[in-house]
Amino acid sequence: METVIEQIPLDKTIDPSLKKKAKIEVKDIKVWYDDFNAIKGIDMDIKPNTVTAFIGPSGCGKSTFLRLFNRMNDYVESFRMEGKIKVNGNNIYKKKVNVEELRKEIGMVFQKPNPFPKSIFDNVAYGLKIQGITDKQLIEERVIDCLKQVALWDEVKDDLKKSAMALSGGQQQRLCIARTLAVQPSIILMDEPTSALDPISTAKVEELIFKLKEKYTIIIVTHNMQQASRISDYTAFFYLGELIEYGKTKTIFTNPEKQQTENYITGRFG
Amino acid sequence: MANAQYQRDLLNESGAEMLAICTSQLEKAKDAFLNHDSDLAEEVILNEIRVNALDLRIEKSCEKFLALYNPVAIDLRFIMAIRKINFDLERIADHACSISKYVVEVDEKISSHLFEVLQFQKMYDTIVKMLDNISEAYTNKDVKSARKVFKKDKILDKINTDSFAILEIEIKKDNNIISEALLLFSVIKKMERVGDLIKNIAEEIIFYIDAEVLKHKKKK
Repeated sequence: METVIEQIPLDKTIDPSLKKKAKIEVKDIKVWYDDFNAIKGIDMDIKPNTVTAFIGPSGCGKSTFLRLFNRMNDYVESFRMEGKIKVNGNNIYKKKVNVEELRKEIGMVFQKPNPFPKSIFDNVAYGLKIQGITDKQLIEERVIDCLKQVALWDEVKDDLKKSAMALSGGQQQRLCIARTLAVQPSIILMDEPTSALDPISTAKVEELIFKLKEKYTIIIVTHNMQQASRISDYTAFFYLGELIEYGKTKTIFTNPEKQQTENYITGRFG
Repeated sequence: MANAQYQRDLLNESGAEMLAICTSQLEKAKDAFLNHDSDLAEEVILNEIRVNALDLRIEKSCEKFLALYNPVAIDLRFIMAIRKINFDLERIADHACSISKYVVEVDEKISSHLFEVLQFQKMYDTIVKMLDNISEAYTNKDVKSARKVFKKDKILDKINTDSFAILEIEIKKDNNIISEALLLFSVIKKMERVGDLIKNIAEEIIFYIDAEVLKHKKKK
């Protein structure tokens, strides 16, 4: 198996200063579902420890593009792609790459919170256990650390054995993020992570994303323009499978280069 | 977003209305001052209420637009620009009003000789031309017209700078004109300030259209 990103040893002490820098390079990516050309040749470099927002109308290819980074599209039968995606210089679509290992490094948070029908503790510990880690103290420390990272610890510390299904939607989503963090990824992909949440839960998740970028590289798909402008460092605007504009969020939302981008972000699209 | 566009159009119309009222106020103040027409001056003073009401209406509309529509890009620049333009226009109307107050308060007509040596007519004409440029720039989103005011403002600066020495000479010739001279000096200062405010408006129009920040920069 080829190591995509240098692994951090699973020692007992989790040093928060440990930062895995994940640089992503995308070269001329093209995607087809059968005959449908969903992505038409995209180049993009994503810097480590940044939040990058993907925006664009439904069907523009942003979610397809996001799912390329942890090879989620591999499950789709009609999926076919060309081009290269490199993480720290290593092509993640090489045959030698172990996809399970890759997904440990590149975690994903989905639109709808999807906790397992297990206890709060077991949800966060799940990834560690399937990795074969049996050291209870290590697991416990990691669970506590991750729950603290997502600012859920104070809310659930007395109820760790309770079912995760009993948590509110916002708490469930933060729990899912904690579950993603437990296996110590370097990149976190988020596909509309707050679209099912109320404004308070959304604010908490946004605050969390802002904090997490210190240690992780985050890519988020969002339909909420204000969210993209609030939390991201870079924004990419997609339309009909093409990357129309990609640049600093501040520039995109104050003075975009392309008229199409301006029309979209100001709501004049169509 | 159709409603946002409608609200923006309304705000744009209010901005044009403010520009027209303030231009008219300044032109009337000019005529009142040069002809010592106190009736016209009274009209300018009374119209100040309309200017203030429109100023508040634009402020409120900007606040509402920002709160309800979260504008970005050109919409955000438009709101930022219109707020500043509105503020500058209100200040221009204030100057028109205070010049008119002089006309009402001062009984004697100012001698045409002083108007002439101080280039009063030229100063007023330049301001009127600058306001025409601004009106054209605002209505047609024409950056070229906006840029025309920068050169013209230099004419106002020159007249203002020269006025001190000219008045000094005139007072030396006849010291009975001191109060007249002080009044004229004060009006010239106001007109020079009006020129600066028009220049600010031009900068805001350019910022709104081209996203170019000209504030505190040398103008071409």
